[in-house]
Amino acid sequence: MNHIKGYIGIDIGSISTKGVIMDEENHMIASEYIWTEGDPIKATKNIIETFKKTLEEKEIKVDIYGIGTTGSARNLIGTILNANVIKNEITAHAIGTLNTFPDARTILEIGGQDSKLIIIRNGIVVDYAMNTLCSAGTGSFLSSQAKRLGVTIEEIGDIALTSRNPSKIAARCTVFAESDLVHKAQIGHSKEDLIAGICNSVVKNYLNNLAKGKVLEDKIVFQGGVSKNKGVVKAFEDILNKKVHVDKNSHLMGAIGIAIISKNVNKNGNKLEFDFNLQNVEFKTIGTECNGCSNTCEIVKVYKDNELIEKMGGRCEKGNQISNIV
Amino acid sequence: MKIGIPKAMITYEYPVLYHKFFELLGVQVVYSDETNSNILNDGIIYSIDETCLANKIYMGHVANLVKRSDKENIDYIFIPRVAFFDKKETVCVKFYALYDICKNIFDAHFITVNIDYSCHETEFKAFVNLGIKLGFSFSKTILAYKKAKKLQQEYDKANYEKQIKALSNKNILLVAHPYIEHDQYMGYPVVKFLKDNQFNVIYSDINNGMQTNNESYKELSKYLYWKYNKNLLNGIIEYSEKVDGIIFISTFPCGPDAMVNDLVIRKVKDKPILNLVVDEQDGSAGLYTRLESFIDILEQNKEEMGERI
Repeated sequence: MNHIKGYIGIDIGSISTKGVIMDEENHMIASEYIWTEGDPIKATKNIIETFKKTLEEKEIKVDIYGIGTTGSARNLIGTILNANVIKNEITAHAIGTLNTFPDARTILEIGGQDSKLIIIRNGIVVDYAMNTLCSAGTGSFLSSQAKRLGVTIEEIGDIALTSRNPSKIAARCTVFAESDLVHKAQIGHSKEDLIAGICNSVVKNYLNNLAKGKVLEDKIVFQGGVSKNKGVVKAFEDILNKKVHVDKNSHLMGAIGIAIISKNVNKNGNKLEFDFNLQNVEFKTIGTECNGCSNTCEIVKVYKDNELIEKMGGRCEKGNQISNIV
Repeated sequence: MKIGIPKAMITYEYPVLYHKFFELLGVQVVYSDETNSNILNDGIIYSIDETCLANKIYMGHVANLVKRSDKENIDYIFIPRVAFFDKKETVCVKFYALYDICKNIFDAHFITVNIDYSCHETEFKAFVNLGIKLGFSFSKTILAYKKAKKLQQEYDKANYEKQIKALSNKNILLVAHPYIEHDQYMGYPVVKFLKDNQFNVIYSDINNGMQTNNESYKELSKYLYWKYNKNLLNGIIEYSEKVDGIIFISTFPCGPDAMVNDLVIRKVKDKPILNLVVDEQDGSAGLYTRLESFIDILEQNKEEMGERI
């Protein structure tokens, strides 16, 4: 059995956690997509465990030369995995997408709790937008409305495609959209029209929020968890009147990107210490308040088998000086 | 005699004038503490919820001084009332109201300077009235005002020269009111992040228009009448060629900034722009994600330029 060089990328989002192992030629060796369920550490452990099994099944021996983390829990998981690169999800998504679509110029990304629009020209990011405080027009809106209509989130796409006349549903705010939806349901709109209406409303909300004044040029790539929903893809194509490309790995792009970045960062080509047997290691986080000044920052202390490995969250250096006792 | 000055909002526009005016009259000056979570919490309690974050923080600073005034024998808390300037320039209405609001909310002694050129209340007249009210002679007050005014101008000039000298090959222009940029809570995390990433921060409010009656802002907007926003636009015109990117910071929900920043972002085309809106939500993850990706864009642009050369 040959040993090959592998690069781990983990994208820990608010709703789902994505992980991949890439080889030196940027091909995927293993991948996993699971729900975060509010416990990023457990999700990461499960992903690493799956990797171990997949590699054993495929009988591949991998030496790890890069570990990258991205997504909203990137700092915590980066510490735990001793990552060599921790980067924001915008850069990671752009790099991941350019690996599959080198000529992409617009990336639409809708995740569980946030959405992004990334504009690329000549292979570099030139502009981006993220949704602000509100989570209207994201995956969590879709799943809550699906529940209201008594369908599962996986069914939404296929049902939406059967609609001939999508209901018009307010696109500005989730709360208004919801009352609109109830109203339309009560006056007799069919379920497929309502579901197609929700998909349209997600897209309109996204475009109103993020695409203000921005030119969406071909090639347009759509990714993130919501890109798996055919109804939303169709709504994008109808409203933009352009072809929208969705890769089969569209939900993994952030993880792929950060794995590639971890390869690029490791210029010396040193092998990293990494043990796939993470399941037996106990990680614990304890939140405390720093009393160094009246800001009372919340400090999170991370313990690996009861040994302190990192303190995070302070506004200044004082947070690092608070006691190390568990 | 001892006077307390809230270290927020308008105080940052005239950091020397107020301080020196009192000092030259022999009055001791104390400032409120740097913005911290107690000040912010007090500010939220003493404000209506629709007002902007900067205004809430100001109320917190006043509360801080009120709490300290017995122990430290603070005689008056100084809150300027600023409305209209020369040439029909005005400021946000929040500045008009600060003095009267505080006087109605807090049980403390307040004094003010009432600057409103539309009612012939000039800055000179306002300071003379202030001095006389505090019991100083007419001539002594005039001297103190003139000297303090001059010191403020010298301070601005020195600041400007320092900033020009510091221009390096990695500059970011920060477009925000000084009370946001220099505030520990609002602007400091951004400034610190940029400096930690080896970027030189250029402040838009410190520009050559402060001395002369520069009107270069008219390139961006002819009919602007907010004094402090005009100054920020002068800075954009002066520096935008020299920087790699521009970051706007405004507080939620600032009226003038919401209009002016949006207008400028549409007109400045050739620079990467990041528009940050800060509010009292404590989560900083979104802020750092935005800043980090913005810096990635700037770094990539730089690399690209290097490769082309």
